[in-house]
Amino acid sequence: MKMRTADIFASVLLLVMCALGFAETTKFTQSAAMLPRITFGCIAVLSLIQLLKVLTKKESKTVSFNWPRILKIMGLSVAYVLLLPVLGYYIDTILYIVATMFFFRVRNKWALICVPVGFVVFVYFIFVRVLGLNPPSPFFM
Amino acid sequence: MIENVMLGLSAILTVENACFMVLGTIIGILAGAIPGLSSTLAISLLVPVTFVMDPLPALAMLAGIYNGGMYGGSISSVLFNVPGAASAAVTAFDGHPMTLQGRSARALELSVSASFTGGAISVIALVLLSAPLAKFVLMFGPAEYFWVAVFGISIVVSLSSEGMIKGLIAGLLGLLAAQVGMDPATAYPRFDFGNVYMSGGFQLTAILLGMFSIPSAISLIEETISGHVEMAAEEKEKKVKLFSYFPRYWVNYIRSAIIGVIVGIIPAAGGNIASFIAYDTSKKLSKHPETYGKGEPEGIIASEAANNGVTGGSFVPLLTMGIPGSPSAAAIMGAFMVQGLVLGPQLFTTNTSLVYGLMWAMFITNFVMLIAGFYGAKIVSKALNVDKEVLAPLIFVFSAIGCYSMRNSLFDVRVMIIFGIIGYFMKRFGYPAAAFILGYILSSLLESNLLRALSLTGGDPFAALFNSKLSFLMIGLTVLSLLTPYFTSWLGKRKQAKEMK
Repeated sequence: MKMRTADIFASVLLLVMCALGFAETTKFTQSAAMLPRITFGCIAVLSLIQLLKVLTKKESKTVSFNWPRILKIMGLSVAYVLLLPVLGYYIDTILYIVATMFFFRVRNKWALICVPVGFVVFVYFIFVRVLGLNPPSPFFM
Repeated sequence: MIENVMLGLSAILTVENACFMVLGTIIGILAGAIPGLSSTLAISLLVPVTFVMDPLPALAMLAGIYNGGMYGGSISSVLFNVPGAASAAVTAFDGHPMTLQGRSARALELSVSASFTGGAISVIALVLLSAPLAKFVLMFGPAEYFWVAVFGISIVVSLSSEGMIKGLIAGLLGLLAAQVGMDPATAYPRFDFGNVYMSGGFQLTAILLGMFSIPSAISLIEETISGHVEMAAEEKEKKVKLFSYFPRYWVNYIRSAIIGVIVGIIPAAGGNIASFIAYDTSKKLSKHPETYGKGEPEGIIASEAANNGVTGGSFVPLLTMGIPGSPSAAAIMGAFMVQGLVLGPQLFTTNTSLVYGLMWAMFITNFVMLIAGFYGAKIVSKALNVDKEVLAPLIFVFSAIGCYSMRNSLFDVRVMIIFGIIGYFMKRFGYPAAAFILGYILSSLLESNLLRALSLTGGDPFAALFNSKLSFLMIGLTVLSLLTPYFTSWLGKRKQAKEMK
């Protein structure tokens, strides 16, 4: 992706966000609205400067993204967070680590078993036994 | 001052503190050495763990991570030409050529001895400078504090590799993220969209982990390291002694450490900037600059003494004004907040033993780093072969449990992942995460003092904010920090034009 395209997209997105945010501040009390308005105003001005700077500049570097890998890890991570209250921390964590390692071509069976199990045992020891904290439980407990 | 220093020493000298300092330093060396990880990430991951610890052992452990991480980055730089951390990139210029010449043991010795010197000098500077500065800051009123926060935000320009505007936008976005929730004056809920969790605002830990650890985990998975790895020659120096080059290069050791301290004191400037400046200075002052980049010991000394010099320096504005001097210091600030400690001049009177105990921890962990780094560097290098496909999910699940454990809230974990994804794209498009965090942290200082200053003058902004010499001093510093990038770029262009002629 060209940095120029990304910068234009980011500037427009920020300008839209500032407009919507500024509209939202009209519902606030005067003191509550003061800093958000100043902040939105500054972001809008800077985004506009950034946009003009990008549009007047011809050369641009490119940013490369490995989209299949990025989308896979983001998808798995979002699924992990959404499933936390359903499966609980331990089951969800084991499944997430195994799935991530497997999707990214780790085929060593010992690693696929020992890493997730070792990690949850470590978490149990540190967070539950030593620190006295409770990770999320599954819905059936 | 001596009384306070002794008070700190008596507080730090316990078995518990010693164990956490050793543990923290080793974690820091490992985190610094493994490419893709950093001391900032390790500190962010462990901030939630410190929630249930006593303040001093918790902060001593994080100080160890900070020191160890700064040095650890040089191990992979020297041995594999892969900087473990951004601050160690310069170390690779001469460190790796030395490895190729069969002098890796010497390069690692220079790296650890310079890191130790930088760290030790920076702690001395911290002790000497922070108390007088804290006394000076006591003279500040709401208007001055407001300008301190503005100055802090203006400083973020130095954090952006893509230029001043992106750095400022990132800082302002952080400021905006902190405005979600009740406003400090009237408790009016802002940007909560009717969500009860949102009205409480975002937790700093969720933001820290989201902006630092999740982008690192995604980047680890995304990256595929390829390229030709040159083989090291057989080791030529069999018996390498610590500090054996110190008598010959002591000026460089100390000069670079001082550069690191100065850069560290400037809010938000990190170890990478310090090591570049020190390397450049060392090269310019050298009688044989042509040897730099080809295995020159002075190159390693300059880079490593400077990046560890940042550690103590970055604590000066952190402890006295609540403005972190580096991204890692920003993460440590999270630990102070988790412990309910308010940073600023009052901390020196209300928690004297803690402040000076922390300074001692910074000093003592330097010795741990020296010993562990000198004798354990080759062992650590074996740990660098951990699969990134294994490391990335572990970082993520550890962040999730850390974030959740702060207040047993799944909302915080969701906030973490959302900010993680945003942080990843910000990082790739040149919007620095550290600037965002700085903006987030400085928000309450800025807003509460702005409102307080306005209430004192009946809402007149000019009378409220432009009422003292100190305010104008801070405004001057802000303008200076905003103009510095333009000035340095102009100087560079002028120099280039002269060289062309």
